[in-house]
Amino acid sequence: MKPENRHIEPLLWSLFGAGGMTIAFLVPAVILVVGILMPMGLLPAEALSYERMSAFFLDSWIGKLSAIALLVPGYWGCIHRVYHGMHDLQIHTNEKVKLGCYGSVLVLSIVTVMLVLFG
Amino acid sequence: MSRRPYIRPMPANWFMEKPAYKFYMLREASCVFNLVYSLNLFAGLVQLVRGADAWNGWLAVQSNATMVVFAVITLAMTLLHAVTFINMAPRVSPQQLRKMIPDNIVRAVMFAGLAAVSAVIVGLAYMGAF
Repeated sequence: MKPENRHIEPLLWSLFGAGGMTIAFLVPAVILVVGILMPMGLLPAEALSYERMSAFFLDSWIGKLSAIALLVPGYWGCIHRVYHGMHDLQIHTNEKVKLGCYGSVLVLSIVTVMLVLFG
Repeated sequence: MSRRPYIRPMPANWFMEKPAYKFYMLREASCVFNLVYSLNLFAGLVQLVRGADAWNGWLAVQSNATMVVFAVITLAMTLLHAVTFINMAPRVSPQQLRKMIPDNIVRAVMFAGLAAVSAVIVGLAYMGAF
């Protein structure tokens, strides 16, 4: 394929698919734990303590990878759907809006990975 | 590039016409909730990196009544996404694969996977095993 025929859409579509997957499989339990069980006092007091959370998500490799897998594909999945959802709502955008949407998610992804790896 | 695609005029509330369209838009709306919630989780990561006080502040925000209501709605929308995602999975998978494995088996395995992953995450949190 000639370089001028390459499109970014397959890459964005793959990230959207990955995001759909992580949101479907990982996010429900995370919302249940962080947003409902913890506030209602249904978890042991120290379950989400700073010591435990930072030791897992910032200091262990499995935790670092979990944090990245939980957050980064989801950003791309959501922004892809928000961007295309604007079309469904009869808001017709242009290349600048598209660049703004995906560009801000690219920055957010890089910051997320940097925080997890070096934070 | 000077692309000027023809845009067919449509009323902005076109989806109110049929129940199937309304359901499509409801499901698509879940992405807004998930985007906001992932920004909330990103804020949690930032606070975790900043230290114990910042993290405890973020946990306190999660216990705010408005935030709990938002979490409940987001969980419902996320489950709607999960159920529709799993139900359509056989239709978007490679069709050679689809001829070999019946749709209902694929869906059953994926629902079992969702239940197993959720049980592991909630179980680990409950046991404080993170």
